[in-house]
Amino acid sequence: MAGTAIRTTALTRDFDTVRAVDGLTLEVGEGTVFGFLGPNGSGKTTTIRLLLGLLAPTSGDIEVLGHDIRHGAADIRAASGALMEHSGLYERLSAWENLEFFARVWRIPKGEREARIKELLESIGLWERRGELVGTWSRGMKQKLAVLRTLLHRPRLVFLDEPTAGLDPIAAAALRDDLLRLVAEEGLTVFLTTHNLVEAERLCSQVGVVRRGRLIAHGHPDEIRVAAAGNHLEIVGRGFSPELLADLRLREDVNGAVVMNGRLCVDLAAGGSAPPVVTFVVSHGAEIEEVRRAAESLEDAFLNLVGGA
Amino acid sequence: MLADAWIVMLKEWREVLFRGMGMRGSIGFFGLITLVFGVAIPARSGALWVSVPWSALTAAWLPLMLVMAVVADSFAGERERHTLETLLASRLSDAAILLGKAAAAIVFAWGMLLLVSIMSLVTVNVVVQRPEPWLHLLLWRWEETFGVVVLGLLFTVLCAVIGVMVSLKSETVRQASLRLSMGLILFFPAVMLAFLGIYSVLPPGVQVTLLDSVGTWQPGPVLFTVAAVLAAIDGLLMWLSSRLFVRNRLILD
Repeated sequence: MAGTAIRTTALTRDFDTVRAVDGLTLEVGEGTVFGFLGPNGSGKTTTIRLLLGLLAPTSGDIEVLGHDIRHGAADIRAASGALMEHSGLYERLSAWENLEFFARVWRIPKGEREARIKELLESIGLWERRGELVGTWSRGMKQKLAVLRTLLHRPRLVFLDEPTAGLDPIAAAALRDDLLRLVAEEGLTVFLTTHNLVEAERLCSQVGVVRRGRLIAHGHPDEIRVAAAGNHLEIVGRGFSPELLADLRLREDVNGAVVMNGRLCVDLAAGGSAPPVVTFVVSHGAEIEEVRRAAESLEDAFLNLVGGA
Repeated sequence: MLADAWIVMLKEWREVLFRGMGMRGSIGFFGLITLVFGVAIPARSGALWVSVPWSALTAAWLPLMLVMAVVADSFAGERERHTLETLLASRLSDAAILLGKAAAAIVFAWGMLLLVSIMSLVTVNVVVQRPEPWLHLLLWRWEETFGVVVLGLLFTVLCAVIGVMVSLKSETVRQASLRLSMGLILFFPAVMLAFLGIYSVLPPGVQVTLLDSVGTWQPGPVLFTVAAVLAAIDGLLMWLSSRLFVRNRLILD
């Protein structure tokens, strides 16, 4: 991994009696697309606001792109792009005027400014519609434009707060495709919050799961999935008799066993491993074609984590 | 910082002045103001326009109305349309955002005041019949000119900074407009009551002396005193508004 783009240590933020972010310790490497997952009200948006210096932490430390938040919030904002909860576009202005305003805000020189806006609008097929007022556009188009706005000044780090929220599946998929391509082209670090687990699986190389302000899991989506999946075996074959099931359930290393759709599903106890169970099943006359660890989707893993933590 | 404030100001003009009312509406609005105050009233007044200090009244009234038309939208509009957080998340400094928003109202209102004033003098010189008009231009004295240019600017700044502060603390444009209107309705009676209150508690001798001295006041010192007081109030309010503009609090609002 290259350097660290974001580092928080015991980050906490209280709103009166409510603790929105609770002792968050996190590291996001440069070049990572980091997915920050959590149910509503779990502190995702507050975390982005804290990382951008729009809110002050109650306690804890934040370092973003090498800048400490207490003294370098302006430097962090200057080197980042942000799509917040709302698209933040000026609906009475055209797409061109919106991008031009922010390009000027980020002091992109005039010649480069026009070329950059054209390059970005062409990349998502909106160049021909640059003169239309943004207020007349669909939500999907606005979100695409808002994502482009965050990339205008070639930031090292981009914050995207639920970029596909409220979009229909087709628009969301299109935005995801564009985002994936743009992120690859621009080679930046992305801090993304989302409810959409498919999106997180598709886009993110690292995810963190947050619940009530606390980070409860952190790692590659596959690691999260495996960790949250528990210790399940799925055995495909024949001859799973009721006697076999009854004997399996008596074993200390098995919590439960059931046959579903011709498959034997075994819930192993903590510390239980597959080989003794497979040997046991074979010794009871069953014929085995395939044995695999039950793989849960990231969504199942997420629900397990946020439901049970 | 000034360059950033300029960028914010241009965006405000484009968004609020031209797109907010629509291009036709904006041209109609500005055209009507110029026509009424720059042509119709001066033409009707004739030579009196430059011999009676009405210009000072125009200088007070016009910027107030023009600032009111624009300034309520400055922060409340951004908040209402969910664009404020994105603006705050940009690289713009607090001072640049605040100054840009206030400057949008100030430059617009003061610019219109100057335009209308110049227009009015042109109108008067065209419509008033007199021998050798090019040798006898009808112009304001320095007092009226000072009133329009300097006091007009200081009063515009005062209105704009108060407007920005109200907008900063309002959730919607409507709320900001209502607060400004209510404030305006209450402001002049409150000033008058305060003045009468202070006057009534003065000893009778002082009251008489004060009334007698009004007729002998020289316009120069009075104008400079008013300008100094206005400048001091402007400075104080600008400092106050910069204290009110705190990113953390704006996000929570």
